[in-house]
Amino acid sequence: MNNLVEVVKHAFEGQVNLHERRKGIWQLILPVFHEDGDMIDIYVRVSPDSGNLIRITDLGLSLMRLSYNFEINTPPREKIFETLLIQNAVMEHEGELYLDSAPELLFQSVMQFVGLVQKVCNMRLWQRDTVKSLFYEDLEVFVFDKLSMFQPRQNVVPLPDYPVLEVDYVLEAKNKPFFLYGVGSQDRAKTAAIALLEFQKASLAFMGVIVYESMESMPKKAATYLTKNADKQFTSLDDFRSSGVQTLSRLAA
Amino acid sequence: MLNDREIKELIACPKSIERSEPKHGMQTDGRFNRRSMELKSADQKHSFTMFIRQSTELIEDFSIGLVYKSLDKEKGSVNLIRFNGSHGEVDWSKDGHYSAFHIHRVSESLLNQGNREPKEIELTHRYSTLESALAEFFKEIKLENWQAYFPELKQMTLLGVAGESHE
Repeated sequence: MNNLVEVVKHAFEGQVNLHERRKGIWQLILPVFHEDGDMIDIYVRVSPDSGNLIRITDLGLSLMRLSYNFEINTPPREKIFETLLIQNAVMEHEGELYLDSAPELLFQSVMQFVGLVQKVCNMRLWQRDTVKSLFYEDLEVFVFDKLSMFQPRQNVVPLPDYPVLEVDYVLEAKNKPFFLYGVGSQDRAKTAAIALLEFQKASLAFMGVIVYESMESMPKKAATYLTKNADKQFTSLDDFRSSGVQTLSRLAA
Repeated sequence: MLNDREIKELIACPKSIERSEPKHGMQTDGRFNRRSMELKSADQKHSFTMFIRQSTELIEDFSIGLVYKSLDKEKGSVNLIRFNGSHGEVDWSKDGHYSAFHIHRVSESLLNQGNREPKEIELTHRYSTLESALAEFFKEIKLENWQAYFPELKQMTLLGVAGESHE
């Protein structure tokens, strides 16, 4: 192709449009899309902070979209979100993402903003990828959010002379507390099994509870060892979410 | 992975709300209003979440979705269907869906490609507001006990404002 430059220039001509969605708020119509085929939400208005700047904003629609499947509700997730904002020089106020741009830098700023929106909306992909730590974060959120009636305490050392044996969560109950472990790997399964065994040897009164990230994925030997030493097991976090409160309430009574 | 028949069955199986946050109405989260629910199929075999989101500034921009929560790790969570409002009045999409009320669905072929986004899109005239979209959505997913959680909608359906109840 001899006229590549002309072809590219021609292809890019007229690809941006504007539509006034609300008085003084213009929607930028750009051919950039989310994975589900919806167009990315970008609006421009005169910046309320300076009449010489143009505010590029999503009117809060990016975080609304993200919230379909994903919440920024733990410190690591908040940290990632903040890092994305800083790296792309985008501001956030009450859920609205925005970037103030000088008119002469508008195209560059819009492209920068589009990149940020795509990164934020794709944070949800990590949920189903192999980021194992999210299991522990999600478990922590669930324990403190939904099991507050058991006065949960995290990283508790029941045997002062044996500080290496920590319990992920101690939940208070009428007769004896629950010692709850999240298990997302074979190593964690071994650690939890050893700890439960040592607590039994020390004649502590407790009920051992295991929440697997996926019991199915656990090597049979590790799961068998835990089954032998735990009083109650939940096959997954979803299993725990759906029946954990009811089951623990029944066992605690 | 789910096939088209299973997807259809999961959407159409009778189900009911087990928990709603908040229990009634919506709560504001930044620049949008939200409500999330845990659903269970009538046979107790399947769990779902349902979400409702609506922009506080652009009220025609809303989304109602049904997510299947499989205990099978390979299947994971799948967004089966989403009823969307309008995202704007002019657009670049070939079918014009972005500027119209539209429905997103997932499909076997999408899932087989590794795409979990409900990318099959159809334009719709079944609803024109969030309330009428909810009434249609409840019919679509055979939600049995919505009246207890959406009393305002019950009133509207009785008046014929938001569509008919599926009952």
